[in-house]
Amino acid sequence: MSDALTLVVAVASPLLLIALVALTPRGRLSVRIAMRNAFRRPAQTLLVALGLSLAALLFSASFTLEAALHQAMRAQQTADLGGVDAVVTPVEADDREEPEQPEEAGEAADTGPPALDSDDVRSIEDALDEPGTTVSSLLSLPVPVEHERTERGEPGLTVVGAANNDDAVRLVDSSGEPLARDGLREDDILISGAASRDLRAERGDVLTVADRTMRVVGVYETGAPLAPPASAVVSLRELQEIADLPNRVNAVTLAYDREVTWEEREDPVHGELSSLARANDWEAEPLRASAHESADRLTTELSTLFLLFSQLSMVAGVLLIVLVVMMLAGERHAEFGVLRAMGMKRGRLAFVLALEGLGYAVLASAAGTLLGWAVGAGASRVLSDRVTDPALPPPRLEFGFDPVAMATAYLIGVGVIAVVFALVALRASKVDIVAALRGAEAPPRSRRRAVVLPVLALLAGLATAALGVRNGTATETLTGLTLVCGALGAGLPRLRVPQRLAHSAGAVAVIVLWSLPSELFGETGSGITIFFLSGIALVGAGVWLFVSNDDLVQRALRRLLAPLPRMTSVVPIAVAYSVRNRLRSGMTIAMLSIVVLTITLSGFVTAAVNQIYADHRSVTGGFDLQASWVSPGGAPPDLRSVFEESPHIDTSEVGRIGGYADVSVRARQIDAEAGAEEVGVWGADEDYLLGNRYPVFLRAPGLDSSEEVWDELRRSPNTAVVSGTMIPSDSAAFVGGGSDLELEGVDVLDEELPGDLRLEVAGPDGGTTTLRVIGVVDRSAEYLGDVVTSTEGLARITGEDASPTHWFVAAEDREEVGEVALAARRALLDHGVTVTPLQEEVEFRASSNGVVQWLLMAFMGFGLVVGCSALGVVSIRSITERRNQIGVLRAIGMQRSGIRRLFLIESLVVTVSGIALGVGLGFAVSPGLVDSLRVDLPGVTYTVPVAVLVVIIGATLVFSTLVSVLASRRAGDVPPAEALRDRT
Amino acid sequence: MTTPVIHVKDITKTYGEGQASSSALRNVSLTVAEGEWVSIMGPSGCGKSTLLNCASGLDGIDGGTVLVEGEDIHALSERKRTVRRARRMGFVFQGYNLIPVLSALENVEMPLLLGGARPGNARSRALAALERVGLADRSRHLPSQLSGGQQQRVAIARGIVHDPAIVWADEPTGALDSASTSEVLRLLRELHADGLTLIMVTHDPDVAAYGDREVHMADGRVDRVEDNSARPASGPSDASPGV
Repeated sequence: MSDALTLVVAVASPLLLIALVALTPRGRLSVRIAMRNAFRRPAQTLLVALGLSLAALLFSASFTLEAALHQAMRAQQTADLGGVDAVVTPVEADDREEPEQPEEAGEAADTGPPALDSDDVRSIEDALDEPGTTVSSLLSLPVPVEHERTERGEPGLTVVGAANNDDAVRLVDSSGEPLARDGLREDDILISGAASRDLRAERGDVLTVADRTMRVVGVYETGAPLAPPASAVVSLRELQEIADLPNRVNAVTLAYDREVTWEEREDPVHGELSSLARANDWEAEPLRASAHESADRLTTELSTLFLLFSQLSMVAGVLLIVLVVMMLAGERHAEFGVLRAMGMKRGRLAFVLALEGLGYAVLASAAGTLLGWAVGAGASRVLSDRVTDPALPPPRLEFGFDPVAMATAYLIGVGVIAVVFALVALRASKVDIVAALRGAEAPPRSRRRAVVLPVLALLAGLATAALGVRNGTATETLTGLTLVCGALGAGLPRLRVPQRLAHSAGAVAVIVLWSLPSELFGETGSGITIFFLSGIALVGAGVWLFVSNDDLVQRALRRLLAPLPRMTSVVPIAVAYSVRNRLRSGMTIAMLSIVVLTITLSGFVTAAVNQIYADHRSVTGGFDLQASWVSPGGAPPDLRSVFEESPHIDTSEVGRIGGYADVSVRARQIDAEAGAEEVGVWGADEDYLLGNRYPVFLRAPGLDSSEEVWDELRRSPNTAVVSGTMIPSDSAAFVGGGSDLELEGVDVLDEELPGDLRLEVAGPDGGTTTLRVIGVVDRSAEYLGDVVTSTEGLARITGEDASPTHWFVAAEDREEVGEVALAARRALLDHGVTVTPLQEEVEFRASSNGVVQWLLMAFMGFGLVVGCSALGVVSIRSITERRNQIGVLRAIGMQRSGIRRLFLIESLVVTVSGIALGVGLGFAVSPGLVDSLRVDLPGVTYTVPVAVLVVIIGATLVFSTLVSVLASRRAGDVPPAEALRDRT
Repeated sequence: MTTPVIHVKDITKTYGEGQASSSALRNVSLTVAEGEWVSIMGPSGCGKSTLLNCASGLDGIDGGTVLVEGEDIHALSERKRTVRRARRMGFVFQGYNLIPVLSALENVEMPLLLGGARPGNARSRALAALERVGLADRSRHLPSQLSGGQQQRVAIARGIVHDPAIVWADEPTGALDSASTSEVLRLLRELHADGLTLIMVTHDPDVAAYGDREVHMADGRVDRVEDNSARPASGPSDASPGV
C-alpha cells in the first residue's frame, strides 16, 4: 500500500465506522442525535474540538519531529558524499604487507599513502555485478596549503584530485548552483567555504599548495566526496604530480543507479567485492548505507528522548480529554435523565455519547495532527541546526509530509479520544433519573463498591510489590507499594479511621516512597522510566493530599485574601468553589503540576550538568588547545622543541604540554561474559600523565588519590585508566551514551575498583596485551580516550614506537589563550600540525546542549498550553453550571467586576496550587536526582535554575490568567434576570 | 396612600425579535406605597416575574419609566443600579438560590459585604438576621444540610439583613410544603408589620391574599387590582395557604 493511500485509509476508517452505524435503523437515530448535539452549539463544539486537538497535537508533533530530524540527519550525514554510495580504499601502509612499489615512486612512495593503480580499478569494475554502477577514481591527500597574503595556512588541508569529467564530484556553491569543473586547469584550485574562511582566501587569490602556486577559481559549499568541510579540489593529474604518485589513486568510488534503502551489511560492496578486497588488503565501505544508519541511530536517540520526556505532557493531554468529555456529559445531565426516563437503555445512551465522541475524535485529531506537524517541523528546524555537526554545512531541511507518520499520529489521537469518550460515556450513562430531572446531585455511591475498589487495589499492589521484590526491580516494587499506600489511604475510612488522617497519610506515604533513592527498591532499569513514573505518582499524591485538606487550604486562603480591598465578598465564594469541585479542580491542578514538575526537573538537570561546561578546562583535563599531527609522511615533531625553536611563540606563555599517540583496537574484559569491542587506546606521555587535571573517581585498592593513579599509570606500563563511558549508568539518559565496551562487575556507586579488573587488548599483529584497570575518570572527561595507558604501554600493544601525534596545551595565562593559539598555529604550520582552541568547542557543545534542553522543555511546555486550556474548559463549565447563582449574586448587588474577580480568583487558586505543587515537588525531588547524576558526573553542582523557574511560573501565570480573564469576562456579562430564569 | 416608593409607568418589555418576538409586558403601570405589601398574581406566563425583574432593575425595559424611591432606576448606569440593589433592595426567590458552597451565615452576610460593611459587623448582623428567622442554631450549616423551608428562611434573612427599603419576592413559597409555606408567610407578615415594603409574585390566591393589594395580571397587562387592606390584620388564614 502506498504511503498516501495509508493516510487516506486511516482518515477514512473512523468516518466509515460512523457511516456504517448510521446505516442501521437504531444507529441512524443515535447518529442524528449526536450530529445535532455537535452542531447545536457551534462555538462550544469548536472549543471542545480545539481542546481535544491539543492532546492530539502532542502525538503528531513527536512523530513529525522524528520524521523531519530523520531527514535532516540523513541529509547532513551524507552531505560530504557527493554522488558516492560506497568506496574501496587500500588499508593503511603500516597495517599491511607492502605490495610491490613502482620504481618511480622511490623513497617517498615507501612511506607515503597507500594507492591503487589502473589494474586495481579495472579489477574492481570487473568484480561488480550491480548493474549501472558508476565507478570513479580519486586521490585524496592532506597537503600543506598557505595563503601568503593573509599569512594563514593549513598544514594538512584535504585536497581531492578528480578527473574533470568525474561524476562522483558534484560541487555546489553557497547559492545552490552547480560549480563547473570542465575547464579546470593545472594551476587552478577550488576550495570549500570552510577552507575559504580558514585561509581567508577568495576567488582569484593565489595559494601555495605544497610547492606549487595555484589560483582559487571557485568556492564550493558541498559536493567534494570523502572530504571534510575544509577541503579543496584540483585536477587528478595535478595532485598525482604534487604527491609524486603518477597514475595512482587512493579511492575507488561507487555510485549505484538506485537509491540506497538497504542496511549497511546488505550493501553490494560486502557481497560483490568482499573476496577481491580481502585478497588485496583493501577496505570496501558502504558509505551511504553506513551514514544512513548512523543518522537513524542519532535520530532515534533524540526522538526517543523527546517522546519519553513528552510522555508526561501527553498524560496532561489525556487528562484534558477526560475533562472536556466530563464537561460535555455534565452539561447534558438533564437531557440524559429525560432520555432514560423515556426508556432509553443505558448502553444505548452510552453509545450515543461515544458516537458523538468519535465525531469529535475525527475532527480534533485531524486538526491536532496538522498543528502537530507544523510544531514538530519548527522544533526540528531549531534542533537540527544545533545537534548536527557544526563543522558541516547546515542540513537542507525538506519538511516532507510523511503520510505514514501522520496516519499513525492521527489514529493514535482518534483512538485515545474515542476510548476516553467511551469510558466517560459509560460512566455518564449511569444516570440517577430523578436527580438528573431535578437538576440535583446524584446520591453517593453504594458503600459496597466504595469498599471493593480499595480492596482490589490493595491486592493488586501487594502482588505487584511481591513480584518486584522477587525480581529485584524497583519499578514494580515502587508501583506495588504505591498501590498499597493508595488503597489503604482510600479504604481505611471504611474502618472508622478519620478520613482526613487516612487520605493524608496515604498521600504522604506515596510522596515519601518516591522521594527515596529508587535504588533502594531494586534495579532501576532506565532512569527515564522511573522518572516518568515518579512524576505521575508524586503529582497524584500531591493532588490527593491537597484535596484531602482543602478545607484547611480554604481557611488559610480566606484569612490571607479576605482582608484585601474589594475581596471581602468575593473570596469566600471563589475559594469555596475552587476546592469544592474536587475531581475537576484536582485534575486541573494535576495537569498543571505534572507539566510544571517535569519542566522544573529538566531545568534542575540542565543547570547541574551545565555547571560542568561553565569552565572548559573541567572537560578538557585542564588544557586550552589541542594539536594534531596531520602530515602523511615522516615522523611527528617534538612539540616542546618546536616551540622552543620557533620565533613565533613565547614559551613563557605556554604552560603544561601533554602528548599521546592513539590506536583503535579490539579489547575485551578478562573473566567477563561480553566479547571484544572496538576501543580507542591512548598511549599518553609522562607530561600528559603528570599534567592533566582529570579527577579519577573510581580507583583500584591502595590508590588514594587521582595523582597516585596517574603516577602509577606513568610508572607501570601494564596499567590503564578508562573513561566513565565504559561504566553502565542511568544518567547516560541525561548526559549521553556510553562506550561500546561496558565493564562488568563495576558500578558507579562502588567505593573502589576491584583489584583484578583487567582488559585484554589485541594488537595489530594478532598478539594480546593485558592491562590492569586502576582508575575510572567520570563521563564529563570529553577529551580522553576509552582506555589510557602510558607511551610504553601502547608500544607494548602495537609493538612499535608510540611517539605522541596529538598534544594538549595549556596557556600559562587563561586570558591569553587566543594569542597562544595563534602563535602555536604559526609555529606548527611547517611541521604538519593543526591547532584547535578547545574553549570554543566546549562552549558550542554547551550551547548545543542548552538549545536541545530548552527545546525539550519547550516541547514539554505544550503540556502547559494543554493545562491552561483545561483551566479555560473548567472555567467555562463552571460559568454554565452556575448561571443561576451568578444571577442571584448580581441581583443582591454584586457588580459585574465582582463576578469577574470571583471567577478569576477561582481560576488563580487552581493555577497557583498547580504551580506550587509542581515547583514544590521539583524542589523536593531535585536534590536526589542531581545526586544520582553526581555519582558518575562528579562535576555536577546542585543549582537552582532560576531562569527556568521564572519562565515556567511566569508563562503559566500569564497563560492561565489570560484564559481566566476571558472566561471571567463571560461570567460578568451574564444578564442577571436571564440567569435567574436559568435553572441548570 | 403614603409616599409611593415604587412608581411604574407604562412599561413595556418584549423578548425576541421579529416573528419570534413575544410581548411580556404591555404598558404596565403600578404604584407601591412605603410599607405596603403588594402581591402580583396571575397564571404562568402572564408576565408577573418579568414585571418584578423590570421594576427592581434586574432586567431592562423597552419603554416606560420605573421610579424607585423617586429615582428613575433605568436611567441609572448599570453600576449604580447594582449599588442601589445592594443597599436598598432585598430579594427572595422561589428556588432559595443560596450559594451552595457557603454556610447559612456566610450566605446571609453576603449583601452586607457587598454593601461595604466591615466583616465583623457583617457577621453580627447576619447572626441577628438568622436569629430573627429562627435559624441561629443552623448558622454553620451548608444549604444542602437544611430543609427547603429552612433554606427559604435563610434566603429571607439574606433579603432583609441589610435593612432594605423594598424586598422583592418571586414565588417565595412556590417550592415549599404547606408547613414551610405557613412559616415563611408568618415571617414575611412580621417583617411587613415592622414597616417593610414587600412586592411578592405568586400564582397562589391564598398566598396573594396576605398582601395589602393584589395586582392580577393577564397577557402582560394588569387585569385588575384588589384591595385587601379592609381585611382583618391577622391575614386571610393561618392554616396552610395554597393547599
